[in-house]
Amino acid sequence: MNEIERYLADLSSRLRVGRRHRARILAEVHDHLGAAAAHREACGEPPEAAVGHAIGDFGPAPMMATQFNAAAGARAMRRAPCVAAAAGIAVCGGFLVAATSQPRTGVSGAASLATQLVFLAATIAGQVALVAGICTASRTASLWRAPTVPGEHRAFVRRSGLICAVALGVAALGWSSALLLTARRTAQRDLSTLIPGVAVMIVAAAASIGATYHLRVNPDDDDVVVPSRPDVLGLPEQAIGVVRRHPVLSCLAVAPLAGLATMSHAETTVLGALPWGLAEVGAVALAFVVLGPALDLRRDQRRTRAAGVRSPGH
Amino acid sequence: MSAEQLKGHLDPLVLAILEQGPAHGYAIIESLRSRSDGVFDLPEGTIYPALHRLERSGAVTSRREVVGGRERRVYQLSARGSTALRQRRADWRLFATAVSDVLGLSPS
Repeated sequence: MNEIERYLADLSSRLRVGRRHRARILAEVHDHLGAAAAHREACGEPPEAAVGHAIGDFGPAPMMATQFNAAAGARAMRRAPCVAAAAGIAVCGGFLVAATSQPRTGVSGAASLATQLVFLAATIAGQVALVAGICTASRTASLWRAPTVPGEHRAFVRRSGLICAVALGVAALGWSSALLLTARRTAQRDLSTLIPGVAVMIVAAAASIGATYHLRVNPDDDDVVVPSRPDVLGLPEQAIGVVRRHPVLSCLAVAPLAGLATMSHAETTVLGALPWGLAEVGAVALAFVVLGPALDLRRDQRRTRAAGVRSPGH
Repeated sequence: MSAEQLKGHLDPLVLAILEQGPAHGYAIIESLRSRSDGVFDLPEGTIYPALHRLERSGAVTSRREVVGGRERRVYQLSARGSTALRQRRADWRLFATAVSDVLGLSPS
């Protein structure tokens, strides 16, 4: 193995990119080093020294791998919201196919309390998926035109995308279970649409978890940040910034609205719907406390204090 | 000048070199070095992530070609790249004038 091959093997072992991209990078680097060494030899350098200098001028393999990995990570990051959106559409489509073709009794009409609770939990998981998906899309959009993306943002997009996918999976499982349990108690069920609808929901959610988990965003390979001008794609992130600056106020505003929306969908009296509304309010508040830091909707105060870092705007 | 200092400006420099005609990576880095009188002496490999980035954005296109008996990937400026280069030149003129004014380097 000559020196160029050793360099290529070292570079290849450090690259975290797709197979085709890796092959292209290695071919280009091989061509470049060959041309540079030949040029030096033509200028009178001994062959071994020419190869050594060509490799030295090209740059150390770890540094080059970092640059390629960062670029590939930025591309992988941009796929995350697309995966989340496709999975969300497929799960909602599957749910509509499975649910709307069933006899119009409503879930609460034919379902036991346990089934209704499962349905509520699934709906809350669906809401978490929606919020996480918005956070994923918003951050990606704000960095869409940036030539390079810092590793922390790539890590955030993968994390929020994964939360979205897992929540969507929980929602798909919950809605499927609720629909199947309800159908078991209903005589005029339509299995020809129920089963495919449920299958679409489960498969889409599972595929979304797998695809997001395997996204190579390479957060440890940080590149030099090239500033980009703020544009219209950054507006959603600015809106989320308002929530980040006023977390308690935002939670207090959203939780009752979500509770009222849930109550309006419950097929019972206002008093009967009240527990569902309160459960929704509690779930929103709990999700905000538990998932808020991971989705960057609020700062983790304990960690911030421990790190001795002051929140922005203070 | 270090690669770090040059990083934010590498894309328009590469576009400006490709404006002269299609070239492969090694020729681009050589041209960059010679046209800057050796001031832009960055690690040669840093040109490739920039070229890949420009290709993805549609500013350049590439094709495999035999150059001097070797098969090489040759890059070419696209219409979108020409437009981007014009914009970056205008931006740079504005920026350079402003910096020169502040530093007291403007000929007055």
